[in-house]
Amino acid sequence: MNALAILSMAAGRPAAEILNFLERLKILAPDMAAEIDFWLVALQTPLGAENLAAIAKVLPGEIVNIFKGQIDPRDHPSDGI
Amino acid sequence: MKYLLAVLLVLIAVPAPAASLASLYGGINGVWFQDTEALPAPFKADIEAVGHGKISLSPHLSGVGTVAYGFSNTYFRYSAGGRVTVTDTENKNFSMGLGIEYRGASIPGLKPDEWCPGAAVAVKPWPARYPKLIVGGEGWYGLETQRAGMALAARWQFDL
Repeated sequence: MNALAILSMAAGRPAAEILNFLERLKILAPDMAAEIDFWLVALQTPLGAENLAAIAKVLPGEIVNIFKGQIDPRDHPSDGI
Repeated sequence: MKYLLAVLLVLIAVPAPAASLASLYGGINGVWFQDTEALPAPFKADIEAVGHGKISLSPHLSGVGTVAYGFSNTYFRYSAGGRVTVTDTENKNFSMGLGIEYRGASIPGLKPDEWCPGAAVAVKPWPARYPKLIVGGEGWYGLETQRAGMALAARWQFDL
């Protein structure tokens, strides 16, 4: 499982179509090639089951802390979308 | 929806820590909606002006909300819900979040309002030169309508 697979399921479009779109965008906008290459790697990086299990393990504690008023914010770019 | 608003009010009432808790964002979306009876094309596209807000409560948990105006189809759309960040929480330049949001709109073609699980991925492409600029994408799936949507987005961040 990777970010591309989740995005593909959520959007209802094949993963190959999203990759093809990014590859075509790279040809059309060569000055953005570096950023698009970054996305191509980032989207296909596996989300390990161990990583997701580790997150599931810490979530209850974080929820308890929130209700105790112990707020511990982070700056996540995806929260801006 | 009233429970969601109540939760958001409780969260806003929590004293803010020294670190930035909330941010507002302005930007644009290129958005695609899966077909409906009211929208005959396979995917209906639009360009939206977007106002977005987030409250980061813990390393992994955040609340998010969006209001968008679609220029071509002349509609307002909103969403509000929660996200879990599933990538490195200390990486300020790239992250991915999974979550669920309640989504609604002002035109029949985008109704009914419903809960939608989804995913968002974003990056700060030039963190040194433009640390407030974010680009990314979001996809969602309506639990009631079983229609998908997808947006490519650019945002500018305003810390509160």
